[in-house]
Amino acid sequence: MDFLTTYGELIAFGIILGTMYALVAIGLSLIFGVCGIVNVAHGEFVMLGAFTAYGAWSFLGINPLLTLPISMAVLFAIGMVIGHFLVRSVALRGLMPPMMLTFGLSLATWNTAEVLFTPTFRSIDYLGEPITIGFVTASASYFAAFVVGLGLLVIFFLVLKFTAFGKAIRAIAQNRDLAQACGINVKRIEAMTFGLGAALAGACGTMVAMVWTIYPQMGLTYLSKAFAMVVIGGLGSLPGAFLGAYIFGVAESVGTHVMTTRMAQVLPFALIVLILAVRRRGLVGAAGDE
Amino acid sequence: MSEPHNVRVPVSARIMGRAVPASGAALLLIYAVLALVAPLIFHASWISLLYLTLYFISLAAAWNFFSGFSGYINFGYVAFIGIGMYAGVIAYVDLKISVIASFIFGGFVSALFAALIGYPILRIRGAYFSIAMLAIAEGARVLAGTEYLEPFTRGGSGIAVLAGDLVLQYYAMLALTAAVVASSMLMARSRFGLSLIAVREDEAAADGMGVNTTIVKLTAFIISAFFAGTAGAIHATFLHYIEPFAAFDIKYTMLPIIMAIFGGLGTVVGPVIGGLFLELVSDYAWLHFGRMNVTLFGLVLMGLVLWMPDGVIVRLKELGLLPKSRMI
Repeated sequence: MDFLTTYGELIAFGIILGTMYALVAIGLSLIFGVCGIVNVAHGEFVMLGAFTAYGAWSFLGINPLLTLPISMAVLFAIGMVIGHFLVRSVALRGLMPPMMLTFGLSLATWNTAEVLFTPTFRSIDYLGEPITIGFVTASASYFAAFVVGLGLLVIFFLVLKFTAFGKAIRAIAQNRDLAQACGINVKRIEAMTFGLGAALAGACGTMVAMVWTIYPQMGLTYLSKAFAMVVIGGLGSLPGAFLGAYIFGVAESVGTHVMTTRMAQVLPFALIVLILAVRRRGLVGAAGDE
Repeated sequence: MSEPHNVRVPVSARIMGRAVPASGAALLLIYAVLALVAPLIFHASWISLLYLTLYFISLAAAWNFFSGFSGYINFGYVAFIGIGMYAGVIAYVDLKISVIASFIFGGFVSALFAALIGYPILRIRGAYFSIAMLAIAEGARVLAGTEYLEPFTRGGSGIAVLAGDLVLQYYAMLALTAAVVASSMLMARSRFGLSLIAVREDEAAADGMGVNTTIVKLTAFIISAFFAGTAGAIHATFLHYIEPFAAFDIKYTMLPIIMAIFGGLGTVVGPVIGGLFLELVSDYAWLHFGRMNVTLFGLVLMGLVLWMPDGVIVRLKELGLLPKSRMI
């Protein structure tokens, strides 16, 4: 009985984590699938979202759940500007140049944030009291993050499936040239895709600020976790990223219980290396490797 | 890489082309003598700066040895350096081997590590390779701090090491830098180097032409790791203290990459120029920008990718100011 409840709780907890992580992984995978860019600065979008929400809460006194649209809007704008620049620059053709450029962007962003905000650990103090739903006991903020995250994922897939914007995104991912020939403004949609990915990462950042702690260098942690998830599913595959996020969330939750906390931090890296060593293009392996 | 054949070579380039080998050799001799006698002439603070410059030159050149020539961009380079640091320090402190032996031991352990991960990792291409290496470096850092390795690494509390003095570290680093640059030069004109360049340009075609791509990549990977590990082991004695965050600091991945790109990927002299110039810039940035120095470097990297993706050396070769030789 104990065994079952313990693991039931761990898996349910992993699903909550997976929902938050999915927001980051799907954005990263979407940007690769549509723009062909591995965005090494994706973790910084999470950080910027978290600090936007924190700023809106602590300086303007806005309710933490209402900071979500604010940080998503801000990150959409930031992402769109970066995406606009990235997809239009002739110098950034191929795989490595954009990777190097976003690596530089990531370094500049977290270092500037560290100087501006100081490296202190911060968090939004909201819904901290523990509640029990079913057999899971956790802070109410976890359940709030789960519900909001799931809502956003559903909205995201509806947008992708039924709106003109979503159809344009899917058209470009399938065949860029043909999409352009059909009258889609490819570069504009690509820039907007960047904005969309950044907004999703910003949403995750907002929830991280509520649930855990935030600090300027947090981006690398989320980037490496998102890489692990995306690699599980194969770069550019959205169902793969979605599945990868939940596999990873459950593995992390159970892993922290089975191993020590510090050892569980090795998990994302071990997963990336193991999966790639066995299958060079991820488990689902949708996109090409070059 | 390819150069047009129907373009007339400017006169200045022909003169420079002949003059450079002679003047290059003379310059090299002068620098070699200066570098050797430097500790006798200059103040310790200058030797310290010279040492750091050599450290980054050797790191950039060793990174370029594998990534610049093979096109496999290694984002987890610091794993080799950090493992070399830990191996060297543990061997010196716990096994009580001599300082010089501990430097070489660090290199060997790092090379062994590269040999172990090399076969599966080098099958992965493009972005996936870079991501996997980044994961290996971060994983190594976290692993060094866990309780499983604590008996050896002392976890987060780190290891203090008092070995050798600045002059010894300086000469060791000078010898290593000379070794790395000389190996790059020999490699660039050898069959092995050409095979590696063939892998970079078109791996499938190289394979089809009879190049054993696996062996070629693996050899360069291991040699690069050996040099990086040795550099790490020397630098650990310079730092006097290592802990996971210092040994696996991401700046040891980022700086050599930026330096190699600045000078010119896949060239012999490029990483030397890049290491020399940018270490001096970084010293300046550290003095004048303080905590913003990572930002400055991030911006420099972005600028390089946008406006000078081929680096200084390739640009100079195009302008006819340097001979178009693979040895440079």
